[in-house]
Amino acid sequence: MKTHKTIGKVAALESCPTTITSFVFWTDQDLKLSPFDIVKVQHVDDSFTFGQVEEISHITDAASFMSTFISNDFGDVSITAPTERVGMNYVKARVLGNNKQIYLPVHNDAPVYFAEREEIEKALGFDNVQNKVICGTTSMYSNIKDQKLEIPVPLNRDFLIGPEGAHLNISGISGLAAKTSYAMFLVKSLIEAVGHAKADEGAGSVAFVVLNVKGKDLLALDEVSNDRDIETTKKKYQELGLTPEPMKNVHYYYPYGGSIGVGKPGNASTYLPPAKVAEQIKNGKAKLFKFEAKKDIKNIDLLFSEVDDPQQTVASIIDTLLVAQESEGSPFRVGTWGELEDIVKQQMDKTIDKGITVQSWRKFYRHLHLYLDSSKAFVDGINARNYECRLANELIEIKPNDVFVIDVAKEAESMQAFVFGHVMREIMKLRNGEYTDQRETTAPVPDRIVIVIDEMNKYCSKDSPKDSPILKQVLDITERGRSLGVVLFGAEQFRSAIHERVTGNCATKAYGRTNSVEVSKKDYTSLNSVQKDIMMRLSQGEYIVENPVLRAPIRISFPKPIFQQYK
Amino acid sequence: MENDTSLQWFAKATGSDIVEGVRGEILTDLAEKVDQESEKQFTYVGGYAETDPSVKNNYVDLDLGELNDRDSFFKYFMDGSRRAVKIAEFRNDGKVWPIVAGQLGVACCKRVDRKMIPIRGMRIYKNILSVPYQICGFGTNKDANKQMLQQYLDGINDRIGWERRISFDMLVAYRDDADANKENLAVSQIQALMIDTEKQSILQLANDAMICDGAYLVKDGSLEYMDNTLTHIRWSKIGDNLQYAIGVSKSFNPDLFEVRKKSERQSAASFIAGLKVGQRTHAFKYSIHKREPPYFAVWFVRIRKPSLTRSAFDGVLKVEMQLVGEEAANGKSTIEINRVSADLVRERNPVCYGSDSRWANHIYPVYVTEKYLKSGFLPETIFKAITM
Repeated sequence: MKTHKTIGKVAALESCPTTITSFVFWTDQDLKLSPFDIVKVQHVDDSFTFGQVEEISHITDAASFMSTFISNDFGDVSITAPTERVGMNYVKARVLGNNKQIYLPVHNDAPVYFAEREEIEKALGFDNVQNKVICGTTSMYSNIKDQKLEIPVPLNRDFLIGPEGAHLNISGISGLAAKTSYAMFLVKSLIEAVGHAKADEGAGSVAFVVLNVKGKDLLALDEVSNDRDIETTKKKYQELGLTPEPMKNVHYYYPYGGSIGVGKPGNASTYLPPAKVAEQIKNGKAKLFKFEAKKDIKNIDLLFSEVDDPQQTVASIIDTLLVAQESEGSPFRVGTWGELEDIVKQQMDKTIDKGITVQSWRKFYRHLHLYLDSSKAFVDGINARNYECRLANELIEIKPNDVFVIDVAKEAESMQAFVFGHVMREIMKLRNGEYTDQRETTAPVPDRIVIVIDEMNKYCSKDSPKDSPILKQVLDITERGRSLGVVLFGAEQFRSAIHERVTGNCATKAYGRTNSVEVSKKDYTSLNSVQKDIMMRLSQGEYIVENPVLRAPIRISFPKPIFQQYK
Repeated sequence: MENDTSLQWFAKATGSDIVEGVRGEILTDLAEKVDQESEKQFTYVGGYAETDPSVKNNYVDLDLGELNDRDSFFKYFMDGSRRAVKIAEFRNDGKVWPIVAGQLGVACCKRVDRKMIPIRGMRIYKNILSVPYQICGFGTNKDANKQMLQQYLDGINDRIGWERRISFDMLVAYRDDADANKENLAVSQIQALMIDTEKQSILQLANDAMICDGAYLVKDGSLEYMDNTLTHIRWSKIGDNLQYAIGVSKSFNPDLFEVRKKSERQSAASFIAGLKVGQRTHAFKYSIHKREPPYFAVWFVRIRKPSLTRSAFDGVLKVEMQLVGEEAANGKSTIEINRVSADLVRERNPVCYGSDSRWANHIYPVYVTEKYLKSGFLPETIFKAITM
């Protein structure tokens, strides 16, 4: 028979009764329990009730602060009394469940024990998780000698990428939260989980489109890290049941950055060194993408997503232009980006129908010129021999287990928004079956395509214009994407800045290190005060994760990236 | 009689009537009075009880600096306490007699590495019913009387009912005394049994060789144990075991002590009140009664500034130690008295300010022991429920 180590006893008071949702127990003041630790309590019918530690308080028998002051000879800081005050810790715990499904408050003086690994897994609901995908490791009793446990935390991938629940929101302060690293850890974990799953498990296939919006962190996902601790990192991946290898099937797409000479591959608009880009191109892993006016003008509204348009005049002009592209002989039909600018310019000197004023055309031109001028990727003519491509053409060829990395870090914000909107729109169309005839590859369209993007606040903040086409696109994905197989993994510094229909539709939330102002916002009301407080002290690589299959928010950590991160 | 409550049954068994209206009166204040009455019975032998004659009628400045170089001698701490509730009044033979239920307890803790730890098996509680001797129908045969008390006890316990969660361990009979309050008499029997239990606990500590030189026992209250008709342990048996025990009293009657001023005896109250922090008086010599052995050294030490307390005697502790062997004639070593006194001054912190009105005279380890003891007392409502 197993012996249980008693660490305290339940205290049920008139003023603080035990309930079916919580209880309080006292324990030794030196016992180093931590919030999120799981304890078990002896209960009726030889059952055990499990609780998650929330608040830990320390009290002594000092009735007042004055008493402690007097106890030091009225304020003599050099005093050491011969006897320590009697003190103890009392711990508030949230009930997670009972192993015999008994919903009865635990009794006064009921002994409290450390829980075993299997018991913790059951208490947190890990044992019933189907289609497991590891989202990190949770530590139990981490400060208690000989009791420390490291338990891998599984999520049900059906609740992470659908069909039961979908979308992930990762929040946290830049740098300290390591948001993109965590997103990449989940991408790797998902690829391997789906890859390992047998066909009859209904795993479906998955592919990822990752937008690199800053630096060059995500531009070597398929290269092994040269970190000095890489061997330790590899071991940690193995302990979690993951391969100690970087990702495979990674394709990089860089914005075309201008020509360097006839017949030569052009520049890439990226922070990655040209030699590295050249190497990736040489190895068939990278291409330079362009947008062609003829085909990509249909997404021109995305360029104007941040333009304030209360009278809908910009929208009217865009409508006029888009309708014209469908009619033969229309004066607004364009073949190149230059033609588009010319046509708009011409309208600035005359009034035409639909009530669009000259001022509106001028405003439209001003923005259009600025946007088109900001990126060299708006150029017509694609030379495949120089590894150039049209981004939409590449996206529709995505295959199961592919990881497309689209680098827009060096582009202007309007261009970044345009690319992100473009990707979302094209992926939605692909999953809607609109490109079935145009796909050249014989591989099936992945059942689930996950779009991963940082800096979500730029595209779907609470302050975004109501009619922003990008906001509409993000809302479309978060609200309809689950059933279509399009999933969004979004990250941002401040969750409270994001449109609530976006965060509300994310089944999984990962809260990284943040600040006190942020946790005071109503977006965090589902977490208790201790969890919020811990959120302000999380280390790099630590998250509090919420998911429908987990019975409580769990504090997790994840290993360092195994892929190379260029700084 | 089968459906009678325990009190109804006992009233019938003793030929008494229950006076209507008594529903459990707590006799806490009365218990304090019993303590004060007991103190008066000790006898001041006169003279001094320590080896250095130069300290007579003088204040002794304690060397508190030496405390930095050594640990405290105080290791064990004991407290005894009792609660009493008048649960009924019986009318018998034209008189009205209180029936008092009480609980006594004795607990002992030790201090290890500045932490207070209870000693297993040394927290003892007893439930006592104190009844008038006159109504019990006793004869001259002591054994028969004893047997009769046991029968009353069994009869009462049988009828209390398990749901009341109480049974009595002992029934004691108090004798009427025309000069004394009957309730005081009833409580004094419970008090006597508590002293008896304290004695047993001290004997156990001594027999287990726990208290020794360098591991003193500090007992809350007086050491001056009287032999009582109820106590089974005679003074002669316990006396020598008190060599390393000190009694520390929070309250005392300073007028019971005398000092000589210009060859005239006068109350030591003013002398005691004049103590400064870190000073003690000389040791007074006391006996249990009639100026006969065993003798005790009794002195006073101030642990707090009078300016920070409410009265002149707040912050002053009365300390007692037994005079063993040659000490009875020569007095206690002044060095030892100084050492014990200095240790007591050190015990001034922490304080139970805000939790106990006697904070200025409490020493913390005793306060904790008292809390530990009282935390195990039955709720008063359980005693009151017996009246139902």
